[in-house]
Amino acid sequence: MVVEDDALIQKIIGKNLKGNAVDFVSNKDEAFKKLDSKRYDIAFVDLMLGENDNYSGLRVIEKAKSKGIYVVVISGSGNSELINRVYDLGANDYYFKGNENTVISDVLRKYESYVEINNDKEKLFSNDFITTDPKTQKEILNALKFAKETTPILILGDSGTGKTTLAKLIHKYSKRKGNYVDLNCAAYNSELLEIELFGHTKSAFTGASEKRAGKIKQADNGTLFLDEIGAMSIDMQQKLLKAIEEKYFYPVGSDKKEYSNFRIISATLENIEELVKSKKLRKDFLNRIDSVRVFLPPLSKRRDDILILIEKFTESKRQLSFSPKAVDFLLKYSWPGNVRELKNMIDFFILNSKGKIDVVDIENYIKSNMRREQMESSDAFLNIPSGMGLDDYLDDIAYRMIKKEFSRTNKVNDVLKRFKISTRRFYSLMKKYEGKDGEKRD
Amino acid sequence: MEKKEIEKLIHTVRSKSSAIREAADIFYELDDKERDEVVLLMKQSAQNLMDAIEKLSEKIKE
Repeated sequence: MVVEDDALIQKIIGKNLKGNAVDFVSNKDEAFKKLDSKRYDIAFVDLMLGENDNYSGLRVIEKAKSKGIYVVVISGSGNSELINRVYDLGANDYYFKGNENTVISDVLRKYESYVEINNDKEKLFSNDFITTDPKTQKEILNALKFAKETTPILILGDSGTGKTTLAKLIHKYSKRKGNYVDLNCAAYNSELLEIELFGHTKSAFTGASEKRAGKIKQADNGTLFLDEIGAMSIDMQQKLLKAIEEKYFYPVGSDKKEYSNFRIISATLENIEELVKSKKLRKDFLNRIDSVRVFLPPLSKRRDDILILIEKFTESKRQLSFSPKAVDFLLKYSWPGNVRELKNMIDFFILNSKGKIDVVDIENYIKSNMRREQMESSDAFLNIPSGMGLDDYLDDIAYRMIKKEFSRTNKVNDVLKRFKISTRRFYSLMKKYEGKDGEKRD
Repeated sequence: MEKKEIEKLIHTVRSKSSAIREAADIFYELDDKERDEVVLLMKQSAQNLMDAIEKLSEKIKE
């Protein structure tokens, strides 16, 4: 149904909806009559219906939503107060007049996703992303609404809240033919991140024995999910921004353009505004990746999900019995590691407990887990770029450490003492990376 | 000058002018009969647009 008082706009919308059964009405009363007598899938609603109308389109939205209709507002008015009111009434989208020829096809595509997601809703929240929390569900549905678009999505939320799960879901519903490819930016230093993202040519660096496609190329026609985006250096942000905008890039060591039609989803657990303020994140880069923002609440803010998640994690596995005090503890615990922490704990108990769990078992698990996390927190360097051997990787790290220390002290002997290495090792690394053969440096 | 009145006139200007432009964009996709109808509607919209601009001009002078 199209609720529009302007006959010319009716004509334009009608042209764009060719092939669909459409009713046109030009005022609130006609719209109400139609809504009472017929079932519609989508209602396109203008807000001002007539020259001196006082936004009676708002009443039409209310009525259409009460009938479960997908409502899209196309209006010439647009102050933030009015837009808020429209969304508060439950409208699914709001567009300004003037782009009907492109807006209508966008709306039909979004509606298709909406129907698909709504049909899957029960399975979605009981299987793919388990939650009963209305706020979390709303955020997820909002993200999935854009699944079929190429719009970049930024997912915010603490570690373990399900950012990767959501990114995979968006890719699944996008129906993009290419791969889902993910990369944790915090796991690599700037040089290695560049190699991982853009790929490299043969002999681009020591140990690059063959050409290798980077994540951007691997995500051609698919989705590239970049986690912990705040860990990316400013230089890398600039290079990636160019690749996002131009859809081409240069692999490391190459001057030949490569093309990739990737859709970007990024995530961070850090405060995004603080990252910009502290100049760790370029404003233009943020603007490019932040078209749709989704926030996943921590588990402590959706405690009703805890027992449901435990039930899911133990499904078709060894059953656990929690004492009433243990249940109470689980429901009150802060869960700093969120759903991931809960899952790891349940997996641990399935394998290592007698099946009956008391508060003391949970406390002991949390204590030992904290110790392990402290040890693992410095493990980021363990990610070796594919195609690089361990010896070359260790040499690469050793060379960079030596070079940094040498530029600080400018004395070879100090470097040798600091790292407890031989003169031979020092000069062999220099020869390998700088091509200098035993040149005296002291 | 009442803000609400101005707001409504601006709404009309925006709405009518964008409708004329959008109609021009689909003009070649229309058959002869549709073209006649659309041109007529464009004229009406242009008149409404002119009226709204005239009123806006009067409001400024008030």
